[in-house]
Amino acid sequence: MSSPSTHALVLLLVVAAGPLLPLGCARLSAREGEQHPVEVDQIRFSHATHARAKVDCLACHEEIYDAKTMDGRFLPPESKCLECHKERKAQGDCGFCHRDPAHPASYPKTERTLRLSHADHIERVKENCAVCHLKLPELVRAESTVPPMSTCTGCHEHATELAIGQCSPCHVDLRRFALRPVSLFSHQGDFVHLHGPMARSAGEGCAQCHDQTFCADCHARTVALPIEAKLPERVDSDFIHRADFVSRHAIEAHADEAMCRRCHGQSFCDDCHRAESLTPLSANPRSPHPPDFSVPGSINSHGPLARRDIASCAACHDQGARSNCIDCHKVGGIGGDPHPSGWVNQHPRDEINRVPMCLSCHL
Amino acid sequence: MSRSDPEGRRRGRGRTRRPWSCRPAVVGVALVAISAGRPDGHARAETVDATSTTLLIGRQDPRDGVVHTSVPVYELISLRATDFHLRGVDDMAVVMSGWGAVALADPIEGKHGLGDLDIAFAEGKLLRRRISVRLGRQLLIAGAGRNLAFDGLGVTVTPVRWVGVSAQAGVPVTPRFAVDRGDALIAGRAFVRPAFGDSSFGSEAGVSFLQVLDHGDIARQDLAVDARVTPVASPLRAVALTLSGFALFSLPEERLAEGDVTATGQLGRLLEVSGDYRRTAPDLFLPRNSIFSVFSQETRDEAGGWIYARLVPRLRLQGGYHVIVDAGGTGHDGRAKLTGTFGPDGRNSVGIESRLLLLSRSGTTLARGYTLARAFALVRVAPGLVTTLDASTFFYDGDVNGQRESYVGAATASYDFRPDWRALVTGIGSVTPFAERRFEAMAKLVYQGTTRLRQVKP
Repeated sequence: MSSPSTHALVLLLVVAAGPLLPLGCARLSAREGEQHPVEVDQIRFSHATHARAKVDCLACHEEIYDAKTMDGRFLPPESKCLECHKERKAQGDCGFCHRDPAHPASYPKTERTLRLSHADHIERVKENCAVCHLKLPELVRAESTVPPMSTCTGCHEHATELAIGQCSPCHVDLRRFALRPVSLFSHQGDFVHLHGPMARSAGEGCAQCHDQTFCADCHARTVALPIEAKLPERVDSDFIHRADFVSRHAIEAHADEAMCRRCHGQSFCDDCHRAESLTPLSANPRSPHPPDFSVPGSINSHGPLARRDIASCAACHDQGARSNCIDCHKVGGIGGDPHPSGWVNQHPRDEINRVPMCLSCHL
Repeated sequence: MSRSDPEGRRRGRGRTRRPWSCRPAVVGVALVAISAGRPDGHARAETVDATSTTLLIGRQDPRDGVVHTSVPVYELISLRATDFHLRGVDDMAVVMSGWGAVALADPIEGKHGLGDLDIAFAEGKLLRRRISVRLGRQLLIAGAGRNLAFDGLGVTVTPVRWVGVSAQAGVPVTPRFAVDRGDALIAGRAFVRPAFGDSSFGSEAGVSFLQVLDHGDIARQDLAVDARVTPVASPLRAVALTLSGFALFSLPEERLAEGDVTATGQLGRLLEVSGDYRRTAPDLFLPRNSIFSVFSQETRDEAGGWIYARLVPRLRLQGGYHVIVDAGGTGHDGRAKLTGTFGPDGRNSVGIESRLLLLSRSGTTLARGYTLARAFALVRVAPGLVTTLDASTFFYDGDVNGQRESYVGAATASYDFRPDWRALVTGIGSVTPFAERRFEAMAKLVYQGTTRLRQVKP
């Protein structure tokens, strides 16, 4: 990984392998016969209507009675429906069951997200499925009908597992089948700002659903593009750099420069400013500063501004011993002592000989 | 390097970034991948989650008075291989995300091809999940880590379920566009996870330490305490109060670099209210061996609150206000956003958003605030076909390159043409202080799928 030719080879492999990756994965998936059709049809079915007709749950879902695992197919086959509704099919009334009679299809195959034995539960609830299944799918129902976790924890004591984030005994894989957290880890509200403090202390909880690749989409120091550029379709998300950030970046930096520094490295700004000829290191430098920036006592004098936004200054001017502030502010220079008041109380003079940086000015 | 060698310091600060600083991560993950792919099949991954995103972007970049044409192609890959069957190792996984790019027109960052690894590690748990080991490129998020990326080893030991320690050692990853920020890192954290009921999920308190060295000089040396606890929660957790706090102390400067406290109250999905206070010392976000670390000792305080309310099932309102106090005076930051959903199943949405940021202008005539007005919509026009519209206007309180307004509009159409596959096109037009007119187009192809080589049964 050291020579330019090796870099070029790795780069070529990454770029070339990318489009091929999904093709390879798709081919593997096809072996399993798991390719789902694109959404074309849905089965029209009302649990409420069948409940009013006093049809027992197990009359249609009889396989569930002995189901020790969630593997298997627990939705009734067409033959089960036809036990009562065969005259509809005989009349050619396909729309009685199919939303799209022109392209009738069965239930979409879904991956199981929980590990659960119905067989172990059914007798305990005296075959009353409604103990857990508080809501059932209906013709029009937008919200999820999967029993909430509080249904499980109503009987099962999982305080310890919850506390340490050991979800795998029940959940197959929360990273692949992430749930929308209702409480404690709610992602609503000011989540853009609150998720940081949350992850600092409870990262194990985050890790139940999110790999670090998810964090890296925004937080990796090596990302290719900002998240706004990668996900332009997420118009409802609260992204930090959305829209014309270039024009307002200086304002945002002044609003919270520490926030910039969390992600952006020492010379992030300088690279861009150099391209814009906004630094002394540019070929034809233009100053981004107001005309009175170097005039002590003026309204835009750089001294007070630097005290408030020193990280912004460092973003462009931190060239170590070659930094342009040294020209004026070194010992004996016309700029005078740049240290904040109280500096000498915390930093004794003998530090000059211990810290190489000090020797840049204290020659 | 001698610690009193300023020339050495100059060399250190002048070093450019290492564009392929991924050797430790690559070697570590490669070793694990090789061992995991043994022909006896005992350690083969059974499930592979893969995401591939191909982006073709065309845009005009006005730089230094010249309009450059940029047509980069990006390939972003993310992989996660799990369900290994390796004796003595639980929850083993190999995780990777990286990207490569080729510039078809003007170069990107002066190059026609570039790429990097964002994350690349192998992890597993030993001794009945009491020891967790992660090797490779990873993020250090907890405690004092401040989201630091590094190549190295991380170990977490939880001898009993409610208490543990973690330790990390390695080399900090050099950010893109940046010089090295250090060449050695050590970090550690001790934590407790109280288990006093369902509501304690996510409750944790820790003490952490982090040190980054740069050629033997201390670039960062921080001690932090953090805590998050939910002391009040109803049995079904529909109502909960969560408190969190964090304090990061710079040991060389003996000052608080960052501290915050937050209280969040929640009423199911209907209402969430939070209040927070944060203090930062921006100069302590600079490496301690930066010459700019000696110029300032100012602090910045921010306090405020946020409310989220689902007024009616299809209408969400959220907004907040924070007051900002720094050496320049007092500033204000207020936001509000109203989102409504409509159509079958509420799959379509429309929203408006506004933000008023007003910082103190004492000591400068430069722009220090703006007002944002934004509207957006997402409409599913057919199965699998989604269109979005997004329009933003910024009004600045001072001149930005001689102008006071920005206008940006974007339209997107995406189509899920096969399961796991999505194609998307986006057009963005803008009139800004730095570009009289600018248009950007992007085409995106996304694959996000899971391959199970064998069904994993409980």
